[in-house]
Amino acid sequence: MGKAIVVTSGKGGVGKTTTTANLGTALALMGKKVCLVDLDIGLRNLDVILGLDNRILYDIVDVVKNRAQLRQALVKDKRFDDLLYLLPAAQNADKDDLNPDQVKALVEELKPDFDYVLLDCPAGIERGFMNAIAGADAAIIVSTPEISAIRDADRVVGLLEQYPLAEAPRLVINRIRQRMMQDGETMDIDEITHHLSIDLLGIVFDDDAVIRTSNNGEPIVLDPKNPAAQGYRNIARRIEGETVPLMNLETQKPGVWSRIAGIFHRK
Amino acid sequence: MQQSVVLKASNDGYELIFRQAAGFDEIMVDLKTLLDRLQVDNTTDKQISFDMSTEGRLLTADQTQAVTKLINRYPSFSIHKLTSDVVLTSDALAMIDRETVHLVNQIIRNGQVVTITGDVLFFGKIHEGGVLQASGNIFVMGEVAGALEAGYPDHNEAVIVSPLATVPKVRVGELLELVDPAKIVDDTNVVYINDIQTLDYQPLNQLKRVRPKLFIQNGGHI
Repeated sequence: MGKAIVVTSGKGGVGKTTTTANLGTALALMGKKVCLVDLDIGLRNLDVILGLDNRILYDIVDVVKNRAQLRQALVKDKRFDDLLYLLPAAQNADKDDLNPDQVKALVEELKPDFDYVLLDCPAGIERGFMNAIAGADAAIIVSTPEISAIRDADRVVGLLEQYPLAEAPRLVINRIRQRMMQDGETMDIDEITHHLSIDLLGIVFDDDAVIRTSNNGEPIVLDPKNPAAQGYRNIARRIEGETVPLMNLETQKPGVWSRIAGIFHRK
Repeated sequence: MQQSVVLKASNDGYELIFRQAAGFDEIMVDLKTLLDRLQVDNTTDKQISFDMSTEGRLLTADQTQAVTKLINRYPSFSIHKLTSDVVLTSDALAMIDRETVHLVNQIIRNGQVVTITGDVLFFGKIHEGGVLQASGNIFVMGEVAGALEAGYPDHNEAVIVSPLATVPKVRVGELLELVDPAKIVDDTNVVYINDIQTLDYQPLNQLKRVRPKLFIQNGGHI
């Protein structure tokens, strides 16, 4: 029996969908069978980040309305044999076309066939959020180091206390700009974790390559050398129960050769 | 046989006692007989106001109404007060709630409103956007970055005792305001409604002067 994890944040634009795609991919790379469920009805984009947007035949609303079987709607990511699947969101529907009981039933149907079911929650705390947490056993709260994102994360943790899941929520701090955090321009990891008073699951550094690769439909986690990819891979290992130390925040000092090269590049 | 209703006279006036062992119907019959007799004996026009005690019995609303209706039939009689030696368990529990200082140690997060009946000694954390509401006083030993509302909704005698440097909003009874840093007088402030009905801040050592009733003890001393 698999575990259903909702990826949520409250605030939009903090990287829920990117996190879902990358954690799902990282878990698949570790040999786990994963199903990603896009619950952002009307504004689907998990499929785009995974490069599966041209392969969608049916969506989650088709399944709930009995227009298609669950198996017909699941899109297989061919890069990972039989390990990574996506249940896409509907575009020509809205959040009210799903209710929490339907999502719960759907997730229960998926859990026996997968190790992990990752639920990509829409922004906000209304119907879409309630749908997303209904079927979940655990929650990952994604926040960036910005006050507005942290404030919304706090609100979401409060709501999760009201509707408790089997496991306590854990925090992912996403899009960390190392230099700004080192210079004290944003709250640091300890401050954010202490403020929210929930366990830290991992940190992910901000990196241009995240946007570049997602534009190509390739999750960044496929590039093992990228720092953001390492962050996601570490989180996936911690979800699996491994103990992995946090990545070092300090930016690497440029070596002698790159400094010399920098002199020649100056205008 | 013992009467089910006993009339007692004292310096304060007349007292009617409904015997606990008697049935209510019996009481109503005896009460009528007694009042009839009393009306005949009462030769003056003087109004008589009764203190009524039901001993270890609680009258239902209907029963109270029946007693009131009977008394009102006699123009020279009225009810001063109707008392009982017992209260409902639910009323007793509510009373305990109101009178207790509740120890609260939790995180109140953005958007959460925690409402408590009675006084609160708060050890937890209130995050930005969280609200702690108490029907009584609030005493803070934890960290507060949200709103404190004492005497909610309309108990204007309540106080907030708290550091205010990080508190954005306070409310006591019906008055609320954004905390003005210029008004903060001490590390720990007493926020209360003063004689001219505005929110005022005093240093902690003025608490006893501002609200002496807080320190009137009904028990607990050895």
